[in-house]
Amino acid sequence: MTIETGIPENDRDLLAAEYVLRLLDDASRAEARDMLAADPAFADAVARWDVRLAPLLDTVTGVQPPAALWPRIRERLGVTDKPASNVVRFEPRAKIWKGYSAAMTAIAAALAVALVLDTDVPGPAPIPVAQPPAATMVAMLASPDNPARLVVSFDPETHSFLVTPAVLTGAAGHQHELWLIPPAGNPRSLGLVGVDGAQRIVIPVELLRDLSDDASIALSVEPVGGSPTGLPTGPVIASGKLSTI
Amino acid sequence: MHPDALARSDDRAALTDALTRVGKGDGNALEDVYQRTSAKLFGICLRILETRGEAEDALQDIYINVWQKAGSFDPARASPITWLAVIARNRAIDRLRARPRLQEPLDRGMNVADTSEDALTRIVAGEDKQHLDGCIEALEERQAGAIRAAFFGGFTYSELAERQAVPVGTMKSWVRRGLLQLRECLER
Repeated sequence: MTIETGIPENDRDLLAAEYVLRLLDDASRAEARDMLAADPAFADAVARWDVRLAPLLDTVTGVQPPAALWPRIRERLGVTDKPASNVVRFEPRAKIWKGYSAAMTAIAAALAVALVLDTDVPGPAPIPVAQPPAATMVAMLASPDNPARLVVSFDPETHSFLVTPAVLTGAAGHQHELWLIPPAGNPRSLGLVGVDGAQRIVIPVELLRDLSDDASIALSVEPVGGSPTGLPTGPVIASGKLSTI
Repeated sequence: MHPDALARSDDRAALTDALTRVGKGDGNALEDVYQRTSAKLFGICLRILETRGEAEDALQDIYINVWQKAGSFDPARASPITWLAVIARNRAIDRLRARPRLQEPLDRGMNVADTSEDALTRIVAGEDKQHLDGCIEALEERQAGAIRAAFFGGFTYSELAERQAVPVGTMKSWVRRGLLQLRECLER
């Protein structure tokens, strides 16, 4: 047993079954999901229940999906048009972004639009301090367990992040908070993020030095008004590494 | 070997191979996997979501998810179709749970007695299913019903309890006892 020493092995296996069946309420599910990431034994138990219960799906009759679906999937993955050779070629960039979701195509489009639309928005005056990164940096925020997808780009001119949610739905009684996760030390809050449209977040001077290819950006679900503790308190629903482009 | 069994193991080997290639970023292999499995996975989406449009959206998410996760597919742990079916159910239930759920009938998922099989279903070792069916049938009706409703309908304990008009604690103990019994039966 690794964590949660109060829970007997037996109950933990039941918790895995409850997680697979989706019986848990949101809070317990979020806890179980954290455990899934932290505890390989629990992850194994979840995988075992997935396989145990999967035969329930055997009785489901197959139905041919519409022919137009595969081309749409191909497009979302950034695949080129099917050439005459009947071979699907994936662009090299598709591989680069492979770890991120298909929603990335949508995000890239959203980002392009956001950047264009944003040229007229006056950012704060550059603050000549702390050697901020001179290059544009970008982080694609995603998670295998949540549909949320965002792109965060750092604009060295204005020392600000442009946050563009591609897929983000609000939850009543909650808000989303963005965090900078430096390679060492605690996450630092970057502020709240709404679900619609691109938003500019000016990076506090003291955080500029933490912007590097070793840092990550994460989005957590917090009570209205943001985390009461200054550290993430709710589940992280999307995260991604910052990288210089 | 029985011809059916032979064909089944060939299909399984081909699908395992294709999925492994998807894990290495091979787009052709993803199309191969799609051609072999999309009808089955679309059936799962339709079963869970019950509306075509949503099932189509879910199916797109599923293959994108497959593209992202294929590198973690381990043929020693699950058959390829089981692995894919688990992803399909998860993504379909994600969509179901994102919907407003006011008056969904509880019988969703409870009548799963259809026995028709398509070619792909035969890829899955039929014995697993018979074993699970037998074990579920051995449960009390209310336990089996709740487990099926959760599996196909994504209902939480409190939703199940509300719909059956019993306290949440009662529903939890029914289901937990059912799950323990199920596990014991499956490991026999």
